[in-house]
Amino acid sequence: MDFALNEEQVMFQSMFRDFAQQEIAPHARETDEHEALPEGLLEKAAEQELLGAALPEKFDGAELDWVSICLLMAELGRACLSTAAVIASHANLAALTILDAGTDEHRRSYLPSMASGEVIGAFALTEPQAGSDWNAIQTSATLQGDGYILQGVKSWVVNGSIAGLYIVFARAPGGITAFLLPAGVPGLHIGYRERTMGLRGCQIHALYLKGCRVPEADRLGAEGEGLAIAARALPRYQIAIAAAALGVSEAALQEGKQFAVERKQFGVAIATKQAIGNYFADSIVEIETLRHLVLHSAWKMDEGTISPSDLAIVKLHSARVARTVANRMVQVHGGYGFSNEYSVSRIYRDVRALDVMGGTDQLQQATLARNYFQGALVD
Amino acid sequence: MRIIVLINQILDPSGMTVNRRAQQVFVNRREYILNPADLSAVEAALQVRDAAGGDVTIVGLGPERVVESIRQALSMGADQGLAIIDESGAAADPAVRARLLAAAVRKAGPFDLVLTGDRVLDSDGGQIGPRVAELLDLPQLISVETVACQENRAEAIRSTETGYQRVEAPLPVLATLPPDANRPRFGTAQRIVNVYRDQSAVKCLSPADLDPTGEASSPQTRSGGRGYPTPREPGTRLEGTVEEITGRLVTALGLGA
Repeated sequence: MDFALNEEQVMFQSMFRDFAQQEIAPHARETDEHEALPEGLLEKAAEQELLGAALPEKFDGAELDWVSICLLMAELGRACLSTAAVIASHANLAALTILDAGTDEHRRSYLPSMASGEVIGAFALTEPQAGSDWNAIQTSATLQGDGYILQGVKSWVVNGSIAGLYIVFARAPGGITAFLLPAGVPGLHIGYRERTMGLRGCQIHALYLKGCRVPEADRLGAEGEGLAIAARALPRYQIAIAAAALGVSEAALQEGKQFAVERKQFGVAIATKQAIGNYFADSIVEIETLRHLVLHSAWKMDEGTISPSDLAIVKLHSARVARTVANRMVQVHGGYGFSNEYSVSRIYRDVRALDVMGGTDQLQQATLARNYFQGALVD
Repeated sequence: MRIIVLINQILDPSGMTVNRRAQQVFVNRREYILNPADLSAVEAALQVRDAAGGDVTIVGLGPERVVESIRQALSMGADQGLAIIDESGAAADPAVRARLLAAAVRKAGPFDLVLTGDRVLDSDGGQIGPRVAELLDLPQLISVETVACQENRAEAIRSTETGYQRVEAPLPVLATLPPDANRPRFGTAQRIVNVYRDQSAVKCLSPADLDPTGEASSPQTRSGGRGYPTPREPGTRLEGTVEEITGRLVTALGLGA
């Protein structure tokens, strides 16, 4: 087995890291405090071709493999988890879903402008009463003439107020169906913004659809194909979120290390205390196992052999590692970890989202248990 | 405008711990980076090319891994690369290094501008630029922040302790840049893909191709060992009003009447 990155992937990683550390990490605090990404950041990411990294070259993408995409997401997560979530929602959820389910016309008209950052994408699946239970979607799509009329409320839409294009899931006569809605279409209103514990740089909004008219040509896939499209989209998001979790775990560890070396108590650096050292030792083990798991899962994505259980494992484990490591590193900081003056506090708030975004931990557990017992339980 | 940039590859200092008490540098992580001053030179070259047209050739000298640093420069937008693969370590000697690089520049064909870093972060010798310029009989603009070319002349700005100097020289010319001269651009994803797709983007030569007799490769310097500079005694801090400090300073310097 060859676990090494190839030369190209090493250079990607190096470029991703340089970019993220120079252009994103210095603004992570202001992103959190101002509750928005810095002006021009997405444009800079687009110049590096990071917004269309996974898209084919003919749509102005860089056509990177999943291992490289995970290296990118890990570096974004290390620098600023809000930024990673914004880019993952745009690139992995929205753009790749258009590539997957869109017509050639959809791809030609939207993907190049999504790669250039001119159009930011958002994925509007969740509703107030339909979180993990996608089947409970109530937003309706009624046939009228050569199009549909959409009526309903979407919630937790990442990039809600900055998106130029929304993928909206609604219940059509033939079942749950996906639609492409450009921002500004009559009847599409940006609703309230969620006040969140972490990931404050993500602009997460409700969407109100009040008699919003969508031509049939803007239907994504066939009527009733919506849930299948969403189910195919989810892995592309989950693997990205897991990679970002790896990066942010490493960032937490680094913050902890810096503090533990500089902070002196009882005349010595607290890093020399066994109780603190054990926090680091355990965290290092968990991060290293996560790195292998993320890259192996990415490799399986490239090979086309990834299973729902594989994704559930990496998604569940990554969120746990990030939460556990961030929690320990807050503790390493002592009282200072509770102060927003220290980055570890922001990281701690941010990583809490990883247990719910892209499918809750409980959903992953249910998937794993169901697949594990499949066929074994009769009656 | 034909521009040649000479680059060096160094161990990433962020992977090292310098321990004065142990008189040792510990390498925690062995990763190599493009020398920061040379990275400034690459960026300056790309800016000159973008303004005046032409092409940028990257010349690197070192073990085979130097090719990766050349590829990094190509991913930033340089046009072609030339690697002199030397596994013997002979090119660690600045005289040998300069001779081989000068020979490589001649081999690369006609040029208008040669750029390189004004120092290598590890040895901090600052010799390569001036040595290569001498060997090629070129005027040299040393440690300049910016370079621009107009009508057969290169114009550069050099930062000094008292202000800025504008210096000029006729082309062809060699200029060196400090590590903080500019903000080097990042490579783009698509260019990285292309750099690896195009296997002929970097040509490889050996020192013997440039120096068949081996004459240029005989070292001129000999290492007498390594050590840390003796720690300096801390100075004395003078406190008080300006008049008091001045009086104490005059006395301390033994200048009092």
